[in-house]
Amino acid sequence: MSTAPALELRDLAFAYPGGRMVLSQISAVVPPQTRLAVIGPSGAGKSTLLMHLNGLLPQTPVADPRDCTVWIQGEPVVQSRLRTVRQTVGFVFQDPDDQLFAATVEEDIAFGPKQLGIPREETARRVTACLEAVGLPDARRMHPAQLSYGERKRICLAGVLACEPQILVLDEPSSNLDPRSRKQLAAILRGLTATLVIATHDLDLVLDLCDRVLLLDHGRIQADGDPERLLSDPLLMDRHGLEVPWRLRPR
Amino acid sequence: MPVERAATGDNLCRSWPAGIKLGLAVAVIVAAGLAPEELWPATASLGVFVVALHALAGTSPRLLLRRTLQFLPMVIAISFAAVISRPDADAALWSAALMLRCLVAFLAGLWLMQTLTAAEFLDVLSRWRVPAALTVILNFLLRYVALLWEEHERMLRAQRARAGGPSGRWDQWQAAGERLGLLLLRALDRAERVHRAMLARGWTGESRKPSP
Repeated sequence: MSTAPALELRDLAFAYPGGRMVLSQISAVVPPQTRLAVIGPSGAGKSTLLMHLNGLLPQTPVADPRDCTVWIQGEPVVQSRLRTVRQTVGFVFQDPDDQLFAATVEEDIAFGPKQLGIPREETARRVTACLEAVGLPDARRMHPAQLSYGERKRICLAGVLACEPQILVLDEPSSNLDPRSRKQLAAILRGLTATLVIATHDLDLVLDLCDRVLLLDHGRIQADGDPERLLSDPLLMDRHGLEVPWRLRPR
Repeated sequence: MPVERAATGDNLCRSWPAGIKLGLAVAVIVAAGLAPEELWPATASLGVFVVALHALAGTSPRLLLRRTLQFLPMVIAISFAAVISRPDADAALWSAALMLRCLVAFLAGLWLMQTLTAAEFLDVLSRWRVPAALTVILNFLLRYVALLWEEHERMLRAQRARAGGPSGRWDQWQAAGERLGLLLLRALDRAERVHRAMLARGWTGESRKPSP
């Protein structure tokens, strides 16, 4: 079995064309099966960082792949390996309407496996299994517009799980969810064995689910460590526009 | 999406095979389009047939009338242009026949929208071996037209929420123009995000079918 970290960032820096630096000096090593939360104020660079993990944003070309700044399971994220990278890293986007584009839920979940060249029967099996995993076995023939926001979020997750990724990246998975949908989502995520990387403002979800936190602000890592320790530090939280979660506040 | 709401309701035509419904609508549209103007009674009969189909589908007469009235100005404009372009004795008949054809085709299309869901429509097209590029484009259109419409409704509501929205006619036109411009920008932005989400799930630019 490979002992390589699930993810490795080596001094990652990034700026959108014509824009300021969004990420700089980002370095971190994430072992397999870690549940990592990326927190920080809006505009800190969380979503941009996540997109790098799936090779969705162009990196500065390097002559030697060893100089690459993003590594997945010990392999560099370079153009020639994007197919493998996207098979390994599943990405759940913040807005479900960005992700659900097929005419039926079934077709949408089957999209990923189809792109990966998975045989028809196996694709059908995965669709059924993933719909059951997210608790929506009857949504198969429905149009995405017929589903509630929370249900659409869960279908997005099913669509990514159908690719059986070893690393799952989620951008604001609990945003705009009511408490029940949020609880359902947390239960599903807790049951997964994949390495999780979650960008979120929902610090209670971080405490419920994650075993490590990266605090990002102004495009740099400001803190990295145990969720309870970091999130209960009022000075640190205040300095970066965050609040200590209610349950960690002294009574 | 309104189309989906109508198509998923209970009516007699809902249980008919999707291929038959699409075939029937296409046959009516093609027949109406190809019928010579002298045969206008045949085209009118086709119109009666389509109205009967609407009755079977349970389309409300009010909806039928409203949609027809919305479509009519365009048909009249086309027919008027036809009269101008053919200053001969038959121009009036030609123009009336053209108007009739357009109406029959429109009503057939409306019936299809009332009885066929987007998923069924795309499924039939795939079974008929319509090129994948076309079905993919139609799929996107059907999926995102509803979303853009919702986006437009939200913008309209937000405009109205601010002191009742624009008051004068000119202001209303200006606000509508701003909404459309913003909608275009948002659509472009959305397209970029959808493309990114597709790339994340392995999209390489070509539509793949599952291997057997």
